[in-house]
Amino acid sequence: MSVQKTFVQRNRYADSVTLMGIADRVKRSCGVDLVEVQMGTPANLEVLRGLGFKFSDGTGSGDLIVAIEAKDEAALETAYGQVVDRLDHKGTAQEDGASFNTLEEAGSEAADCDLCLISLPGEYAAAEAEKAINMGLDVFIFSDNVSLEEELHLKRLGEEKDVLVMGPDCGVGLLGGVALATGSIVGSGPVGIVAASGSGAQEVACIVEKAGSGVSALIGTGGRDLYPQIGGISMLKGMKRLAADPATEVIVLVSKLADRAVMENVLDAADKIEDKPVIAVFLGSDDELFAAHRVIPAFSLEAAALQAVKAATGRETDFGYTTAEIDEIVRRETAKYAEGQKYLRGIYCGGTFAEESLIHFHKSCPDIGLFCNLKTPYAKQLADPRKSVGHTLVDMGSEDFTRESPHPVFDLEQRLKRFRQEVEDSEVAVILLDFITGPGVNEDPITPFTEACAEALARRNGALTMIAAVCGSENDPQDVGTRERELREAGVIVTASNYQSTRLASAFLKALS
Amino acid sequence: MSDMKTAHCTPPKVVHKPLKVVNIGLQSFTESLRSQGVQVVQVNWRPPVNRDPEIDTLLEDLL
Repeated sequence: MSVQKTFVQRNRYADSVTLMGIADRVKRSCGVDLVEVQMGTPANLEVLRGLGFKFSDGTGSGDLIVAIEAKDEAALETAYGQVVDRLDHKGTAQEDGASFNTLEEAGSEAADCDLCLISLPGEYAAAEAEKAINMGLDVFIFSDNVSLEEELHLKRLGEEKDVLVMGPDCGVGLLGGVALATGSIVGSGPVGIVAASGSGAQEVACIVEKAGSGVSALIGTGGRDLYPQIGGISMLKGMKRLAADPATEVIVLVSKLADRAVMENVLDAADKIEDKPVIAVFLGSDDELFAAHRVIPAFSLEAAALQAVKAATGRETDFGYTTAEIDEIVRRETAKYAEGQKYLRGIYCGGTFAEESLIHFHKSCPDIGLFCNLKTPYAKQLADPRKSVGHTLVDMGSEDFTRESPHPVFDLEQRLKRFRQEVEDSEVAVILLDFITGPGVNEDPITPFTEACAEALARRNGALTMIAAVCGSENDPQDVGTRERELREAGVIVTASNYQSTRLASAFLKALS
Repeated sequence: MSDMKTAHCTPPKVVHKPLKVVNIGLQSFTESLRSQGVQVVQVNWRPPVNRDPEIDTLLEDLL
C-alpha cells in the first residue's frame, strides 16, 4: 500500500521544463512511484486531484506543488528532500554570467547583449519583448499564445527600431554558430535559412550538413509571419540580413503553405537579390506559384536542402532510397504481418514533419482515408486526438497535447504512452516516428523509444514495422550517430530524412490498402 | 553617397558575431547557451502576483 503526500511551497515559481526535469530525475534516483512538480495552475491542480492528491484551500497559480506517491513515509520524505535540494540549486551556478530578476534590473548588462530570448507563458511574453525591442535588441520569442495583434505590434516596432523579431512561436534559430531554443548545432557553411517553420528549418539545416555543406545562419520568423495580417515582415527582414551577409552564398526560404499574396510578395523581394540564388519551399504549394519568379522552387524540405547545397557547391548529392530499395523493404516487412495487421500510425513531435508527411500521403495515396488530430485539408480530423482510427498521424507538439504537459521535444512521457497504445492495437502494422535533437531539448529523446521499440518488436514477434528519422546534427550533445545505430539494432528502420520516411511509409500505405 | 558607403560597411547585425544573450524564461535555454560558450544574462522572471480586486479597492479608499 503506497502513501501519497502533497507539499505546497507558497509564492515560488519555476518554469515547467525545469520542474519536469527535476521530477524526472528524482523519480529515477529515488525509485518512487510518482513525483509531480508543477505550478498550482487550475489545470495542473485538476490533473493532480485526478491522481488522488489533496490541497489546502487557497492553493493557486503562484504556488509550487510537489506531489509524491511512494511505498512508505521514509521514501516519500527522501524524495521530497531531493526535490527541494534540486529546486534550491537550480540555476544558481551563475559563474558564466549575471542573473537578474527583471529586464529593467538587468539594465546596461541587457542592453549590451545582441539578442533577447523569451520563453515566458504567452500572456507575458509580448510585454517583455517590447521592452527588449526598445532597448535595441533582436528578439527571439519562443512563447506561443501571443495574439496576432501583439505580434503585428512587435514586428512593426521592430521595423521602427531596425531589430529582428523572431517569433512568437519561434522554435529554432542558429546565429553566430549558436543553436537557439530547440535548434541543432549545425556546422558553418554558405547556406542561410529564413523560416516560418521550426522543425522544417531544422530539417533543411541538418540535411545541408549531412550533404557535406553547412549553414551561415538560420533565422526563424514564427509560424504566423506569412499570415495576411503580418505580411511576412520578419521573413523579408531576415532575407535582407542574409542578402547583406558576406558568409551567406545561398538563401533558403522555408514555410508551410501561406497566404498567396504574402508568398508572392516574399518571392518578389527574393527575385531582387541578384548575387545570391534563393531557393524556396512552401510545403503544399504548386509550380504555378513560382512561374513568374526567379526563385528556385523545392517541394520537400529535403529537396530544398539539396538544391541549396547544389547551388552553393555545384555538387549533386545522392540521397535517400531508390525505388527498388523501397520495394524490397516493403516486401520483406509485409511478409511478416499477421492477418488483420493493416494500419499505419504516425506519432510525430515536429509539426512541419507531420505536415510534410500528410501532404505527401494525400498526394500519393489520395483514397486511403488518413486521419489526423489537426484540422487540415490533407486528412480527416480525429474525433478524439487521443484515439487513433484507421491510418492516423498525430502531431503531439500541437495544443491538443501541450496544454497538459511540456512539448514532446522536452517531455517524452505522453509520446511514449501513445507509442505503447499503438503497439497494443493488433491492427497496427507500421509506426512512423520523428526525433529532434539539440542542446535545448530533452537530453536523450531517443533511447527511451529505442527501448520501447525493442520491447514492441519482441511482443509482436517481429511483426511490426517501425520507421524513424532523426533531425539533428553530429555536433548535438545527444550523439546522433550512436543513437541511430542503437535504433537500428533495436529493429527500427532509420531513414535519412522525414521525406524518406514518408516515401517509405507511402509505399506501405499502398501495399496495405 | 557617404551615407550609402557607411550603410554598406556596417556589418549585418547578429548573423556572425559571437552572441551575448539575455534569456527570460526557460532555465534550460540558459544552460544550453552556456554549454555552447555563450555569455548569458539570465532574468529570473516570475508571474506578477494576482492581487485581490477587493483589496485594491480598499487600498484606493485608504490612500
